[in-house]
Amino acid sequence: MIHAYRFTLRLCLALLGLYLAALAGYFAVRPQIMSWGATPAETRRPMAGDEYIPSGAVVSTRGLTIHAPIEIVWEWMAGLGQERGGFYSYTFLENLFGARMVNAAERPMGEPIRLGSRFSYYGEGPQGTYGTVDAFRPGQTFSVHGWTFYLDALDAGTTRLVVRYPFVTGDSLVGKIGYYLMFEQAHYVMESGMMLGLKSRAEQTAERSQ
Amino acid sequence: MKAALSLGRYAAQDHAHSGAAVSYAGFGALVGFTAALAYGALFSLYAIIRVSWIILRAPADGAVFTLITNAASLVVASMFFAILCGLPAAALQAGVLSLSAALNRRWNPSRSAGIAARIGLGCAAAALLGLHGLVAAAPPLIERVLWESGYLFWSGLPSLVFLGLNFFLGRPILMDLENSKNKLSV
Repeated sequence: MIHAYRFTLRLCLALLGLYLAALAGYFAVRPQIMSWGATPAETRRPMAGDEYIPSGAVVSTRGLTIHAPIEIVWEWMAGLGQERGGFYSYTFLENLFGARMVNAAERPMGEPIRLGSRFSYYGEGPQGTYGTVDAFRPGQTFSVHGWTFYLDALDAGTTRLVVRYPFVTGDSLVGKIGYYLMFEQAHYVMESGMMLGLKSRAEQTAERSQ
Repeated sequence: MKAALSLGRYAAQDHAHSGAAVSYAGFGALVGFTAALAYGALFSLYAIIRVSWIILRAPADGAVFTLITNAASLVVASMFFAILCGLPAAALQAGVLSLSAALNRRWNPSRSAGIAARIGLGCAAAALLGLHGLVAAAPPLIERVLWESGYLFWSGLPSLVFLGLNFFLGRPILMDLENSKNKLSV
């Protein structure tokens, strides 16, 4: 038994070491992760949904260049939300949590977003979790409770996508621990995946339309 | 009835003076916690491979940074969740291993590896049945997560790991019973 105990203890310590190394690595580059792909000017610029960001929220602003015209990128962006075309992110991860997510692949799905639209974060029907589009400028930007999506045409065939996300951790220690040690990392993976998914879909559409 | 009283007497004796049941419980807790961590690490690896594959198919500026930070983020989030899940897993495995050791003392006088494996498997299966009964009575969201797309991840694979572990843990229990007369010397 002593050998089995020692082996298990070593394995446990090695796995905890792996976790701590990943945690240290994450926090060493956290500022870059929170502004993944965004320029300093983009992280500072005011955006349409900023007025809905609660004070004290932890805010990330991320950016990405998409080689497609802004009209095409907008079509895909206006199809975001589970009741529309999904989130274009990692379906296998979303569905581990029972989301039943279907991410559109060929063309945007559902009624495009407009001011006052219902926006499904998770699930559909009565059991879904929803927000409302409270800031909207057609062809350029929309925001759901401060989660803001913004497009800027760099030229006729290139578009910048900037996404700002606020999270209120609350005052409780449990809330802060949950956010800083799990939610923030999970959200980074899913949001960067969503932005890359939107990019690849828009670029494929642009290629097909040429 | 007589057998149940006898088993109860064994367990009480262990707790009262030899400390063996506590040690089995400690070993079980360590095994349960480590198994949860290992499951989290393996899931991280699986997720990193799938996510990296998708990132590489949609090349963007700073792809190397994205790959590394996505990998670190997946490890942090998965392992933190595994640590949380590891606490009930430790408690469950501690109980199952203690019971398994007590049953081996009572019903496996010949120290047969086959009987020890069957006892371990039986104890784990009984615990799983109890857990699944609790899940069936849980709120709809938990049922939804467990019984649809996430079933294999949340319930199916962990159950197999749990059964497999307890099948093989009979051997160290027997060795301990043989060598140190029910006392775990760590």
